[in-house]
Amino acid sequence: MAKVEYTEADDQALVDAAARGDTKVAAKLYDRLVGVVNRSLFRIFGRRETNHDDLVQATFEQIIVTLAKGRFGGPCNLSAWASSVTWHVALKYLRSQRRERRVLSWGEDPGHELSVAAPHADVEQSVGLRKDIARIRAELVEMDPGKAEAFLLHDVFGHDLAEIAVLTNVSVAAAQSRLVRGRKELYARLEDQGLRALKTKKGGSDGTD
Amino acid sequence: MARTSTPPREAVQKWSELSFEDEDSALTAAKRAQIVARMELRLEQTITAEANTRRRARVYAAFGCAAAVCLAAFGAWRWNVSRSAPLAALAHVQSVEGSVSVTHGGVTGVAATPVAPVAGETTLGPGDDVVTAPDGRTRVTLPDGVSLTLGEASRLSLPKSTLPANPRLETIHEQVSLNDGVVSVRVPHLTQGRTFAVKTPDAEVTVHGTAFTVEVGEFVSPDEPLHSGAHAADATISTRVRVSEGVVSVTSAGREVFVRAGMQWISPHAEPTQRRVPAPLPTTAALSAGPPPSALPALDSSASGASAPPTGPKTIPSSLADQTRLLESAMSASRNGDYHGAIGSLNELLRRYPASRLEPEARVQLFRALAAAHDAAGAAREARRYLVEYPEGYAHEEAKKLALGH
Repeated sequence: MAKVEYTEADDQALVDAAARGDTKVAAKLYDRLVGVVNRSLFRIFGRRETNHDDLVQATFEQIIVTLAKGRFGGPCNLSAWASSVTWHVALKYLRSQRRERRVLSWGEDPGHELSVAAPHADVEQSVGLRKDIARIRAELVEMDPGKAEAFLLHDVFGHDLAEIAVLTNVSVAAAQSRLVRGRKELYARLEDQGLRALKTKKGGSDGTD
Repeated sequence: MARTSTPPREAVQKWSELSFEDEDSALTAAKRAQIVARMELRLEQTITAEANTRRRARVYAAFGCAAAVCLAAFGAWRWNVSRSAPLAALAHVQSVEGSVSVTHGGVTGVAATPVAPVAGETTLGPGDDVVTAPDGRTRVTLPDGVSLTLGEASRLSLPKSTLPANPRLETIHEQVSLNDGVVSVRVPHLTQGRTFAVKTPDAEVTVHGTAFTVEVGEFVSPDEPLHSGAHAADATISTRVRVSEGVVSVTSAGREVFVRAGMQWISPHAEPTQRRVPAPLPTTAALSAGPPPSALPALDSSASGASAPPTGPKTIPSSLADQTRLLESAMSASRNGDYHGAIGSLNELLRRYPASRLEPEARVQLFRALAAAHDAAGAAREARRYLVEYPEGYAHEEAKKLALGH
């Protein structure tokens, strides 16, 4: 399928049509944003999630409802906004998974094969990376949503601070503050987690030796 | 094989560098159709819900506006109704003797309707005139308790205005007009800010909790009542006010004076008393030297009770002639050397008429007579009294010398 280049004018036409209730815009929006939504979900989960199709559908429903209510996030890029919506849908899903006590065991689920073409050919490295991403994601779910979102959008999705400020409806300074505090908190959490794991390992070795 | 965890920053860096393969296009076509259909459905539902919400908001707003308008209209109507409640509509003619009639038509300003005879209790409206014949008398009660007893051959006009909506919040000046005849008024203690007044052709009598009588008619003499009814073409209409309780203020010719209980006031142009004081006496000088504040053009203490209906000339005995006679007698005795006789006449004058306008002159003549009779102590005592009561009196230098025993 040939790739179509979209302009800001095209984006605005789509937004206006959705606000008017023109149902034909649904297909156009899907074609315009499906790549963004898929990539965002893959990046958030580090693989193809079991409920990937449901998450894509939920994300597009959220997108069309928000546009129909005229609550599009201002003068930002439609793709960037769609990735932000995707993060919110994924976060909601992850929290529901955590409530069901499945989040921690999810990274260890052997039934979920990584469908990514990772640059690391080594299988051990791929598994290790998947586990690291799962740890980071688990900590992000525990953190304050604003700080977690700023971190994810900037450090993982690659958006700049001005874009994040528009997407999250805060000032650039506030977005930067959230990002800095989010990083600090996340790394502190990960280091604590590593120390705890190390202590547990040492305790186990001492006990067995 | 044991594996050590990647440092956090490095793991994040690797996470951001992950790349993904696009999905199979055949699979995505099927998913696309499903998701697009779902999106269309949600779009329709959302648009419908939003439209319903907006319509409900408009309906609520319209209802709110309509309710506010109705409430405002009802409030305005209530305010208007209460404001237009006529004062005199609640006035009643309570008793009638002889022939009394009421003239209607004051409210609309149209010509008065033919005179309607009154029998028994009758309700009066704003601007109504109550007229008594020479043999008629009547009593009218206003809603605030003011009682008006109208004497023979009298004409009283009720106020044309109406009571304000909230009388407690406004200053109310209630006023009736006595065009002719006599009216006895009893005013209960009014709330603060309220006054009652009787307006005559040449004066306005304002009160606040008192009883008094007002007469309007042609002045004949101080000993006779004012003649009401038919007047000569060149007759001068005068007003006489007699107070039996409290204090009234009388405004006439731009001047306001207060008349207390037991006193009476008569129009200045009708009072001949000043012109009648004998020329040789120093009375004129005394009067012009500055009478007390309560001294009016014609004032004495012989007013009769106002609660009794006004009946005729016998109710107002004149005293000025007697006062003048006593003073003249005292001065004549002094000239003849009968100082004790003069002292007796002066003491009689001061005893019988303590509020007389001739009192300052009588006090002067008294300390002079006592000094002439070689009663130095008595002269000094009377001189001190004169100085206390009339510090600016014309004889204060003479009184000061006597008071100091010179």
